Amino acid sequence: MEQINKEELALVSMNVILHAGNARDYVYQAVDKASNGDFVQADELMEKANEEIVTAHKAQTNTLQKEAEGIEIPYSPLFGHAQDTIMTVKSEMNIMREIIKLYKKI
Amino acid sequence: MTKKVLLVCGAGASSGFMAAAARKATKKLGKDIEFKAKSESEIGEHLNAIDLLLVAPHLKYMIDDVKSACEEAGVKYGIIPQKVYGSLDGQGLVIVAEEILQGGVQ
Repeated sequence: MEQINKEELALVSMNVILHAGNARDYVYQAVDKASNGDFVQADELMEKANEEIVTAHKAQTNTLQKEAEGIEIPYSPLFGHAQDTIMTVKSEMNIMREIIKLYKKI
Repeated sequence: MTKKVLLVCGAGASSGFMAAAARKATKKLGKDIEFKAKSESEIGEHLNAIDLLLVAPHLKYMIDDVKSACEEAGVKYGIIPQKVYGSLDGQGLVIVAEEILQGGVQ
């Protein structure tokens, strides 16, 4: 059975972690702007966060879809960690989006 | 004397891979630098025993905290460039570490 090379999987994982991390950075900047009433900047930063999370998510999805194509993905704690990172950042993003909405109301 | 460099990220997983790549490169280049990786929550325990703290690029949102902790402990610090981290470029990291250790950019 065809298999993804472990080194290649490690590089994909590093990129997922990197882009998810960039998204988290933008999310926190956005909330900071919103808390100061700077909503235009906050929305722009959330937009940037979204672009980063989409990049990270695509890298993950491309890898997962290989399994569907019959290519075996070797077990990698680093890849698991990368998936955990992306999901955590996604949740933070959803929560922060609501918090920004609240800031807009008060 | 051996220079001690500590790499930190969220869980010590991706920085562990980065440190392994850097150790390989250090050996190949014959440099006297020791690379270790830990989670960011352990920074405080290790600050007194290192020369340089390098933070993973996806943790740049916490650089202000790192900055004040390092300045207090008299330890140099920096952020690992995304390109180096994303491609697990061990040699690239050795170069970055040496530049900062020699008092260049911080």
